[in-house]
Order: sequence, then C-alpha cells, then structure tokens
Amino acid sequence: MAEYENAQYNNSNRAFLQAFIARNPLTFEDAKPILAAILSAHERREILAEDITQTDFNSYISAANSAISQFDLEIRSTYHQISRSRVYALVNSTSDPITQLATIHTAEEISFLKRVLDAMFETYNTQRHEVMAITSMQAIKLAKPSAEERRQTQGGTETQGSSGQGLTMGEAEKMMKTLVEEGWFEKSQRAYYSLSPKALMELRGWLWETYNDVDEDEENEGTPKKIKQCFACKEIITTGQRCPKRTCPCRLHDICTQNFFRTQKSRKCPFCKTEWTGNDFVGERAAATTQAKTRRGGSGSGRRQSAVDVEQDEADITQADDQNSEDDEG
Amino acid sequence: MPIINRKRRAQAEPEAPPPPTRRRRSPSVSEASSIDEEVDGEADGDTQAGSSHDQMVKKLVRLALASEYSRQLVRRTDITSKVMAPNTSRQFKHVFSEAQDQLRSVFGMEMTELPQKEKVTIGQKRTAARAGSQPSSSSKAWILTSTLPASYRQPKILSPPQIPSTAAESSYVGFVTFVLTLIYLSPSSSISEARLEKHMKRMNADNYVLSGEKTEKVLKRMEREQYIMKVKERDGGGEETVDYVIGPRGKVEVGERGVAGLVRKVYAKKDAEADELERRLIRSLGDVVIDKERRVEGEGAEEADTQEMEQAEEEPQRNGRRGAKKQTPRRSSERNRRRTRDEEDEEEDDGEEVETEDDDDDDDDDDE
Repeated sequence: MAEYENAQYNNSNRAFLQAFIARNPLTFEDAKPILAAILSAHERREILAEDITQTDFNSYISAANSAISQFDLEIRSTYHQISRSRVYALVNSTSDPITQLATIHTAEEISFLKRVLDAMFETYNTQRHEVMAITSMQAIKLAKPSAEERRQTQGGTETQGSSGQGLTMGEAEKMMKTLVEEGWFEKSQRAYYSLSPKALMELRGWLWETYNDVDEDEENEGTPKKIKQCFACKEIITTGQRCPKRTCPCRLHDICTQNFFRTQKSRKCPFCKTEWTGNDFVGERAAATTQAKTRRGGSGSGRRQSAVDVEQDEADITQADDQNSEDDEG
Repeated sequence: MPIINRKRRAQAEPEAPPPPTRRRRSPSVSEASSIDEEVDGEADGDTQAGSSHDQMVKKLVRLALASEYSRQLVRRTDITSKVMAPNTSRQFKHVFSEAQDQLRSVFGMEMTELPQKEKVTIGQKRTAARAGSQPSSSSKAWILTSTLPASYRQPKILSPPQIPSTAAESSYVGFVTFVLTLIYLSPSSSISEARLEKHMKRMNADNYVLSGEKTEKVLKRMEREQYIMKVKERDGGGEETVDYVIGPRGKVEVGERGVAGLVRKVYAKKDAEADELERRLIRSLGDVVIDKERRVEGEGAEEADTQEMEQAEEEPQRNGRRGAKKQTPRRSSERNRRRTRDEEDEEEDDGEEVETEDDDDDDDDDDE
C-alpha cells in the first residue's frame, strides 16, 4: 500500500481528517480500523485493519499535516508518559478569539479550568513536591475563584473572561469528569487528575509561557522552572523521576530512565552527578510516597510528611528548601 | 478489456473507481467549486492586499471549524466582525468562496446555508406581509456539512464526535433524528406539544432521555441549535397552542432523506413490503426520498458507460465524467442511501436510534 505515499490528496485523506477531528486524539491502534474502512471505501475492496501499516498511517498524517498547516492546525504526536504509546493529536497552533469559540464550555467553566491548571502547576508543584496533579477534593475546592486568585489574573494569555461567579461544587465535580471524557485530563487509579498527552500537546506552548515566565524576574538557582522537560526525550514531564538533589533540574520519565541509564556507566544524574535513587518522584507519587521514603543523607527526613497534605507542607517549604539546598551544596 | 472493466464496476459499490489520475479533485467537489468560480468570476478585484486576503480566508475557515465544534452557526455578521478586515466587506463574496474551496478540498466539508426560518404562525405571516418586502431568500447563516461521498459515510469512519463523549453525542444525535422523524411524519410537518409528549411517553423518554438528561432540557437545546422550532399561537378562543416544527438545521442535517433512512432502518421491510413502505414514505415526505429517481439515474450512468466503452480507446479522459456519474450510489437494498451530502452522522443515527428505543427504558428506570 506504499503507493499511497505519493498519492494526491483525495477523498480518503479528507475522510481521514474528518475521522481524526471527531476522535482526536488517536493512537496508531485506534487508527487502524478507521484507515481500513477508509481504504476499503476508497479502493472498493475489503481491507483489513491488520493490513494497515505504520507507513500508511504516517503518510496519511503527513498528508493531513501539509494540508492543514496553512490554517494553523497541526497533528502532533507525543509518547504517553507512562504507557509510552504514541499519541497523535490535532491541535491548534495559535490561539485567537475565533477558535475560543471552539468549546462547548462556558466562560465560568474555562476559568475554573484555569484555576485547576494553576493548582496543578503552581500550588501542587513545589520544589519539594512536584505533584503536577490534583485530587478531586482539591479541584472541587477551586470551584469558586478565591479573592487572591482574582487579583492574580494578570497573566497575559488569559483565556475567555468570566464574570467571577465560579461554579458550584457539583458543577466543578462534573466538569472534572467531563474533562476526562473529553480527553484533556487523565484520572489515575489513585484518583489524581493530570494532563493527558493531548492536553500537553495542545497546551505545550501555553504552559511554557504561563508558568515558566513568572520565574524570570526572580531568576536564581533556587527557583527552577515550574514546567520541566524529561532529560532524555525532551518532552514536558508531569510524571516520572527526579534527581534527588532539590535544586537540580534533571527529570526523567520512568520509561526513559531504563533506556537512558543503559547507555550510561552509572546511575548518576547526568547533570549534577548525584546518585540517582529512582524513588524521588515527579507526579502523584511525589505527594504520596514522601512518607515512606527516607531522604538521602537524612537532611529532610525528620519532617512530618503525610500523604496528601502537600498543602500544609507548603508553608514551610521555602524555609526547608533553603536548608536543603545548603545541605546539598555543603 | 473494457468489458472486464465494466463488470468490475458493476459489482463494485457506489463511489467512483479510484481515478487513474489523482490530480483531479473528486468530481462533486470540482463541479461545485467551478460553479462558485463562475459566480465570483466578476467579483471585484482585490489586487492590493493579497496577504490580508489570505488571512481572511484562513480566519473564515478557522471560524467555520470552530463554530461547528459547538454547533454554532456561522453568521454573516460574525464573519464581518471576526474575519473581515475593516472596510473589506466588498471582498466578502471572494473570501467566502475561497474559504469554501479550501474547506472542500482540504477537509471535505462545506458551509451550507440554512434555509430561512419559516413564517409559521398567522401573526408572523401577517407581520411579514405588512412589512411588504420580499422575504430575503438567504438566511446569511451557514453550518458545516460533509461533502464526502456516501461510501465514506459509515460509522466506522465518521463516528459521532468524542466531545463531550461519543456516547453522549450518539444518543443526542439519535434522539434528534427521532424527534425530527416524528415531526416530519406528522400532518403538515408540525406536531403539537401534547402529541410529542405522548410519543415521548411511549418511548419512556417523557422525563429523561437516554443520556440521563431531562427531556425538556434536550428539547430546549434542540431548539437553540435550530433543529426544531417551537411555535406558540393563540387560537380564536384565546387558548394557546404549542407546536414543534422542523428548524433550519434539522432540514439541512437530517431532512426528508434522513427521516426516510431512519424509517427504512426501523421497519426493515423486504420485497413487496419494502415497496409499500417506499410508497408510504414518498407520500409522507415527497419525491426527495424517491427511489426511482436513483434507478433512473443509475440507468443513465449505465448508458453513459456503454457509450464510453465504445469511445474508451479514443477518449481516456472520459474517465472523469464516468466518475462523476458513478458517484451516485446504486444500492437497491432497503437501506438506500441518499446520494446527497446529508449530514455525516446519518448512518450512526440509524443504528443508534433503534437501540435508543429499547435502551431508553432501562436507562430511565435507573435514573428515577
């Protein structure tokens, strides 16, 4: 079926694009039966899903991409951070008022979403606990904008404005569920919500701008960027492992560590050469496992850490971190 | 050689054989766009701002895609305010037709203008008459529809969108088609609120629909999205009657053919009974759903083929034309697909609806 590679853009490509839009995001496995049906219709003979190769799929993706790029749309792909399956998503590469129509959510719901994202990447993403995920209890508390929050909304890339009413708790709960159904969030077994690959692809630029720019004015070693990349695959990391040294920016996906350390002489942080423990985490485990974990050198071990009280912890984090970084460097 | 060729095609189903030259756009598309080009052939030149022109085309395409996402209409006023640069309204026609071309060639979609809302009540008619003006023939509002040939319109390819979830969309689309069918098959395509309620009761959908939403709310949504229109009228005695009629989107997305498809699927008659069903469908819905028309066209295509066979050697290019003819589906099954570009979820509707009828019961019981 390689003959399709150079084929002209035809109805099968259009059908693929429409199917993609309806089912965004797709994996190769999802795409197989769709492409089989499309090609069966196109060639008017039965083509089985098993006959579809990655090459066929790629050629349809690249044909679609070159056709839609003129509209600032793009099919991106990334690996799922945990399963490592490759996920393709059709994303909008620019944000303009026109495409802000493209939501079935109200302005209130969107501003709730913004608060949830803030919580994921600010409140629950501290140097000590890079959780980057949120429990439904935590999310529901964000149903109404806090007074503080309202003051904070000076972010340049503010999305659709709202009247500041907020949602009811019930609505907030439902919204979280809907966001999972729509494929923006993923809910883990332990009931943490985190961003899905689709969301990470769509929001890549926005996350970077929104949460990393803040740090620029107080640029110093102590406050690393909020959004970090995996050292191996360079994608945004929201779950995986981290260098045990607090100030070190090195992060690796769980799966990336396997490949990465295989090529290294020793399991050491590629940045600061600290021994890689494999149990310093990014993601929900950062919130939960801290209790069981004994810190290297015992510098932070005496401190009380319970599974979910990241919030409480936060107050003394700054202080603690200062100490820790001294410890680390000393 | 041509004979073999013909045999193969006779067995093969609706769509054109993959054209030997892929340069060509699909027949329906090129046909349609050539009409467009004619129309705006004399559109005023926009020699100055090529890039801003392209920008506007791009914006319009994005607007159309974004609007459809939430079932909003693309309105002329929105286009003017969101797409067109200031003082470029002269170029509207040009920008629009170019965006239309892009939508067709890239996405296999096009903007279909909604029909005007009908003046239903005596009051409305009277006001219209008083205003005296000719009712403008265009609504200046469009929705996106698929231009893909029927062979691609199958649930495996075009599933209901995943937003908010495939299940929710399927059940909504199914419910919409069902309600529209009830209305279409009622006398003068209008159903009283009480009567609709009675039907809903029989479906056990009088309070809640499959998705667990309140029926009332779903009907409101259908009204907002212009699938249906609610008409209130006071009769002589001062009593208010409420009727539902087909809304503009309902006409475009489902239409008589969609309704006929649903009915065929639900009754699934064969042979003589099928003929009887077809007769009844035509009586209720009119000639648009007619089966014969297709047969006639099919024969036409057959004739064309015969001619082509004779001329094939001298005129290989005629393939293109043959393709265009063959676009017409020629299935004679109970599920005769309409050949037009009805809405894309159609097949899904059909399947879905049958389920809805049985499933509704269980689901609603759970809910209550």
